[in-house]
Amino acid sequence: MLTLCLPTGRVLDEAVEVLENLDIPTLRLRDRGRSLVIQEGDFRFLLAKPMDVPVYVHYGIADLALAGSDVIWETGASLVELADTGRGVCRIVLAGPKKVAARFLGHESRLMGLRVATKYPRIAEAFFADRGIQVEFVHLNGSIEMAPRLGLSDCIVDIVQTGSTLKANALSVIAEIAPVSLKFVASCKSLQLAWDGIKEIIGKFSSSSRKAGDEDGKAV
Amino acid sequence: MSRQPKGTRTLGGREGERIERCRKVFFETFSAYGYQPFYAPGLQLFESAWEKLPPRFRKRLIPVYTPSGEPCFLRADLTLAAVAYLSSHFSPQERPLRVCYAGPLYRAPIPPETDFEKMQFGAELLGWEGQGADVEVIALLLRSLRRLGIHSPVVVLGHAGFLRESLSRLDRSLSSTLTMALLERRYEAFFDALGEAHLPGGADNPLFRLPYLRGNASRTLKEANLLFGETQPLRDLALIVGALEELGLGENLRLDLALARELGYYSGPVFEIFSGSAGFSLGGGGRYDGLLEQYGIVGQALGFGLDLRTVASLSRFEGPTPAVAWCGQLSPRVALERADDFIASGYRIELSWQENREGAIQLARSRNYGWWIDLPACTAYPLDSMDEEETGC
Repeated sequence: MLTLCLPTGRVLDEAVEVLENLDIPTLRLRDRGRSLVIQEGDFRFLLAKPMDVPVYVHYGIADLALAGSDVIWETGASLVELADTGRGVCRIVLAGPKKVAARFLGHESRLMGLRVATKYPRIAEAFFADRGIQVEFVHLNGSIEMAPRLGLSDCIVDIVQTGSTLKANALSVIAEIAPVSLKFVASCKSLQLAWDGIKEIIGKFSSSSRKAGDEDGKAV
Repeated sequence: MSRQPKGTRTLGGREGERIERCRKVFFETFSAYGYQPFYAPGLQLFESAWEKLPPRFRKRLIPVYTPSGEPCFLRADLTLAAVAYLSSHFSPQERPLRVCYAGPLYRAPIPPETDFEKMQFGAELLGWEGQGADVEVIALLLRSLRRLGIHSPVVVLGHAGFLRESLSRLDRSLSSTLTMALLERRYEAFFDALGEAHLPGGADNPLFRLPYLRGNASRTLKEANLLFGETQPLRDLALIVGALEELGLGENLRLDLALARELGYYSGPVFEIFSGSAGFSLGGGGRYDGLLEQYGIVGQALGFGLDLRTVASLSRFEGPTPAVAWCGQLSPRVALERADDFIASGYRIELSWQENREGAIQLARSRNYGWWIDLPACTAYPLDSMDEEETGC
């Protein structure tokens, strides 16, 4: 039996579709009610907050998972990235109001001491540290976009899909930090000890991507 | 209340007992084969170690100054100290040299880990190039784990030379992108980079099969030989696998030809150790030569490190039966002599000098011990029934 960890929230439906394309049974998963651990066929599914999914894989509780590349980076979890599902595509960006964006066009000395709101403190820290810019971070867990408007921060580091929330809060993208998508990942232990089962799924992954003709779905 | 620095922990009670037992089994197993216990200082000088440490390691050092103002860091690696010791305390004619060690290491944790202090057991064999050395180290390691009752430990074998050779025909930038992808276990990035390089043979190029070359040792070697030809690294691995199979350790072996462990550091076979009950690798090691070169030694060495706390948490062993022994009115001499008799018959004794017999029984219960001993009556009782069970003196 393989244990698969899936992110709850809006990305869960996309994750379930990915599993269906891999011929993994998802009937109970679709009719899950409030259950967080669901067993179906040869699989056990764990439903966890997106930020916690890589942690379950890191500690080997889950053999496999579908996890966003943003949370993989942020948690620093040690795992194996097997394939890009081409789903959940968005970007992690630095965004701010126009006057702050203008400061980024000038010398870096004008950026020192900026206050940055984010739910990705590790990613944000790496971004600014690489550029030698000393900033102050405000760690929030949601609705990051309103922080500059309310004076809590000068700018934000967050994920953006269409950009409409940024626009609604009078923010624009200052810098693209990284593309984000849903990755198919495995625990380092399971890759070695449960390889036969994982290999079978990877095989299905390749053929389902070809069937779907999905150019973004880069599979192993 | 006494607070402890974040990222460190006190290990005592049953856990402390298990760690000590593991340390003892490792030392016994390895020292029986000539590995001499070795104790390194807790600090390492920046000036002697900086250049020798893999770059990814350097960011995790924890710097301190000695009272004499020398810039140091808390010991982050024991291999370095072991090689420095072996190269300076023994002449080349005395090689091969073997050491084993156990102790704490300090590295800034990578999230989600939080501890910066780890207990490690390790061994190094310096100055023997043949496969015998690899087989010896891996076999002793597996024997130790089996002695500790660890369920089906698995050694996953790879080869740094095989990876280097396989990627050497590519241009340098592609080769380093692929190496980094394997090192970070980002196979998706590995395939992307290969795909964009438009290599001869396209998707049929053997490199596309590299991350699939894992699992059953004989089957994987066969496939690798067909794809890459019988290269020296594959012949090395075949010899190691064959010898370990002859030793009855075949079921504990897997191959992973995409296994990358600090490629600039390791030069030959590399390995990682797993157990079904632990979520991550218990440790690993391999063959290296670059570090020796920096100490002016021509040749190769082989070593490994294991996380002692993780190993201890998985270990199952039947230790002596713990019991509280009530001394009553006995003189210390007689009490100790009678306790010795019980220890000889398989008990681990905690003496209770209180006059009150009931108090001693309560002490045994509070310790969660299964047994209580009445030394004046020379009798052991199981605590659940208090039926007289055994006369030990």
